[in-house]
Amino acid sequence: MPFCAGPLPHTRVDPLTKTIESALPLDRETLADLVEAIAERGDRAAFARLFAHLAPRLKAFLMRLGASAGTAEELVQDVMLTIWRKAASFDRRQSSVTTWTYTIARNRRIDLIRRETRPDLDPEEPALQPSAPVAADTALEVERRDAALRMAIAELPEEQADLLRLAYYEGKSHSEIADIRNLPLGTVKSRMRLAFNRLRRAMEPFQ
Amino acid sequence: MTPSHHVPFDLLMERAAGTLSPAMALFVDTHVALCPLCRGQLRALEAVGGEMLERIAPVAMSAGALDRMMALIGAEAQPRPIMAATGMDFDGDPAFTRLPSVLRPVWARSRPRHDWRKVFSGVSMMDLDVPENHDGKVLLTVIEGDKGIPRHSHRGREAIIVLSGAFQDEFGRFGKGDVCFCDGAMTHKPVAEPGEICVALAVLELPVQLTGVLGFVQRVLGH
Ligand SMILES: [Zn+2]
Repeated sequence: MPFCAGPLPHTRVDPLTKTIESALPLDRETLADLVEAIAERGDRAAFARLFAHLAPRLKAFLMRLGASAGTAEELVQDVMLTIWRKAASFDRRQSSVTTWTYTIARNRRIDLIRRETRPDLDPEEPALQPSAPVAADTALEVERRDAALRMAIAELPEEQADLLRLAYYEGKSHSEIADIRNLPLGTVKSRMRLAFNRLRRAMEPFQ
Repeated sequence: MTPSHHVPFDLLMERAAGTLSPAMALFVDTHVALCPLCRGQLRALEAVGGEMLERIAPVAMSAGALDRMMALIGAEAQPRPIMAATGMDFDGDPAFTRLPSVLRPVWARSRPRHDWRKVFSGVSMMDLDVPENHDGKVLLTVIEGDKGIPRHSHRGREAIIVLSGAFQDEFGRFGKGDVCFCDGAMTHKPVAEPGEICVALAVLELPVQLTGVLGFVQRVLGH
């Protein structure tokens, strides 16, 4: 399976997936528009564009968490099916499409890895419950917050970025990370905190 | 009202990364449902996850993946607006109406298999079924006003969150949304405030060991 690193290429039809990749990586507003188009009118073209953007990322994400390529693709299908069914529970004022997708994939992955079976879609899935509002959140603020967050992640010192990758990409608990990196648990927790304090400071003006 | 006892930030981090047990994840989700402050924090931590997903080097899907996907959704009805869980048959259970929505489906799934057990005067408990919870218990507890649980210590970690009403023990007052963690040699004697029943969710990582004259309590609790 080819590893395509870096930014997406310009418009082309991928010979393998037959997906049309847009000229630029889809921005936050476009992604939110696509999910709303699915929610409002079951827009299949919008869904296909969303799939082209999200599926390869989800697949990479699930493989980093230990799924084989085949299992990862099945899970991607589950997650995308959930997105199709529950598009109406997405609220652009509260999160980005990628964050919403992340929470669905994360919970789905937990089900799968822990139970080693393929349970049905969970109707109690917390990511799919109508959410309680966050005070004073506006779409613009959330967008600015995510942009600030993106910059701050890119600028994290390597030792902190490493722990974030282990936690988010590899699904390791703090004590597992301590074992893997041969660090005291306290050090892992304090480095994690340092990382999040940095990220939080970056996001603070927008909360 | 915003709770005054919060879940530690570590737990929010692990919840966001998806590395908590389902029982602890449910616990954190319950607090977050009742606490705007921690909800904001968890959202931010999940945004980190979203950002990590956005930045990952994509891996191409295999040939025909899109076709298969489109065939799958082709067989689906039009997406429907999501409905909050309603119309559950709650048997007039006074605890049910006090549960945040994140717990209601868990209650509904567990209720047919578990009954309320009267544990002490004015105190009832019901087990909740949570996946992968082999070495622990998740209990819904109802304490009537002015009633309480006898003094006990803890062999493992116990996490408690108040869903309704309030209780007090030697560590303070715990109202709706407040969490407390007990472990080791720590003993306490929670008593509900007069009036409103106190409904709480408890996640026990290991069986609770009760001290003093009330050793029998452990048998009653079924540990
Ligand atoms: Zn809180």
